[in-house]
Amino acid sequence: MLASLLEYDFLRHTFITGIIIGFIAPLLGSFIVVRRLSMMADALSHVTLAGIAFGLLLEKKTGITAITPFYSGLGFSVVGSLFIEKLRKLYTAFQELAIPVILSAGVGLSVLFIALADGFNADLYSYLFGSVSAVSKQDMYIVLVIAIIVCIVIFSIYKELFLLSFDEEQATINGIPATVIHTFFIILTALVIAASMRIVGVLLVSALMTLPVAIGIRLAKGFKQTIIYSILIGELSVIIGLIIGYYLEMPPGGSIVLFLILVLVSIIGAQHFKRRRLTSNMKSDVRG
Amino acid sequence: MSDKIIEIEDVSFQYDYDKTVLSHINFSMRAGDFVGLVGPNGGGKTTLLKLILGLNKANNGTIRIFNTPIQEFKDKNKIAYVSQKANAFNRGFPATVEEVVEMGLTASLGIFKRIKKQHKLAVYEALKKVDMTSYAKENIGNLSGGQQQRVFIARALVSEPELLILDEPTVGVDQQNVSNFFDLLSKLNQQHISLLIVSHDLQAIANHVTNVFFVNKTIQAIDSLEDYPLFTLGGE
Ligand SMILES: Nc1ncnc2c1ncn2[C@@H]1O[C@H](COP(=O)(O)OP(=O)(O)OP(=O)(O)O)[C@@H](O)[C@H]1O
Ligand SMILES: [Mg+2]
Repeated sequence: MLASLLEYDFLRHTFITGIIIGFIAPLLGSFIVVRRLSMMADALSHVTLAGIAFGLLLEKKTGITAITPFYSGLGFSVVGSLFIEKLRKLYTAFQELAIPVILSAGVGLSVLFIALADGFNADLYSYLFGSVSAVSKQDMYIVLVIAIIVCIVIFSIYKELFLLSFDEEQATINGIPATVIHTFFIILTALVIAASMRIVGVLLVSALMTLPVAIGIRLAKGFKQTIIYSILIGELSVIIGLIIGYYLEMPPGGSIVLFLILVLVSIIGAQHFKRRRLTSNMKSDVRG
Repeated sequence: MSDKIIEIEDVSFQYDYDKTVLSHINFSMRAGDFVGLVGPNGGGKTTLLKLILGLNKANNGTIRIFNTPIQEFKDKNKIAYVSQKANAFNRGFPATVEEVVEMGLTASLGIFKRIKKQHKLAVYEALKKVDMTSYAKENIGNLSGGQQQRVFIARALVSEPELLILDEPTVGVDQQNVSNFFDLLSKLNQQHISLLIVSHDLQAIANHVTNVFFVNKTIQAIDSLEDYPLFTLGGE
């Protein structure tokens, strides 16, 4: 694969993009998980799917290629994120109500656009589950720009975002503009979803954001450590997932997510085993 | 200029239209005061604190904080607050004790600034005051309720506030540590930190504070706690 990596541009683009999203998805994901927005990310990815279907429809019916499905997906994702914020404000007591509303809207629109286009071919499939050969040079640059934006924002408002996630009341007392930060954050989420969809596919984007954190949280002490572990695990999964995807000729979304699930299950198993041994040692101490 | 750090004039407040929680409150506090608020459950103590903190907006009347109308008050780092519900956070939240105390520096650092070495030192000092340094690297969710409460007190102390507002900070803290804690508050007060505290621990209040107010929809200064033997039992 190394040889083909040097030989084929598209593989190189895929790999570089993969490494970028292996970093930003778990970075943002750490905040998504502690703020209990995991399902929100999932809902947003379905809106992104509607955007992609819209872009494909446009391409098929009008032949216009200036607005690629990537851009329309990005656009839908960002607009959808603003809708979520609006809904969350309308239903302060039932904020998770925004999830089924947005999710079903996304799926409904996707079905509509797909029907209007009389179905799509392999293109849509690659958007659903990712592809090792789908990333263009231009896509790669856009992902890079998104990554830079995400890093700058997170780096600048890290402590505000952290405090807001942990204790909203204290954040308000400290004069932190909660609404502005909420909105920024959800837009960032939309951007990262759009950036990740070429590699892992729309349906598995939220997995790349949350599974590494689910693993990291079990290994780490504290929040910074959780972020670091999550990123390491995210990178590992993307690299291994892409290689497996390339050789087995399967969409990398599947191999990345399955790898993550395998790691998660092994770690839970190992921790369970360790605890069992600890308690049985204690029992034998008592006996002996 | 007066030396009043809190000045409340004729403030009333209600959450719902039909029920007045606080009615025509007049209250003031000078720099250096150690004020205790007592009163029955539901009497409006927490509500009053939240008015002072800007979390609740008064229906009428005026509130001035450090000689500034509350709407214009921006020096958030002058005030620190330990909420009655401080340890009602999500126990699974991955934050170490150290990280939680660092949160107390958010307002004084300001946006875009990062935690540096000297701040770590301040965090350590604050943890020392509540005797929790050995837990600095532990996840906050793994501590007992009383230990968590002490960490939240450290978070309030770390920014060296001029006014410390505490809402039943010693609930769940053991007797020895309650006594230590009030001694600490008295020491802080001698270092010119003003304190406003809600507590049902009348003994501790009586031994340490300079002024006591009784809050139950209205507010009145009381001279002797003996006059109010039953109010902790609740009801109006
Ligand atoms: N968020 C809220 N929405 C509506 N009503 C509220 C709210 N918070 C408090 N109240 C009502 O306001 C009244 C005063 O409550 P508050 O919490 O200020 O009392 P308190 O004196 O702090 O009591 P405690 O000793 O139990 O802490 C109560 O009758 C309560 O039902
Ligand atoms: Mg209260």
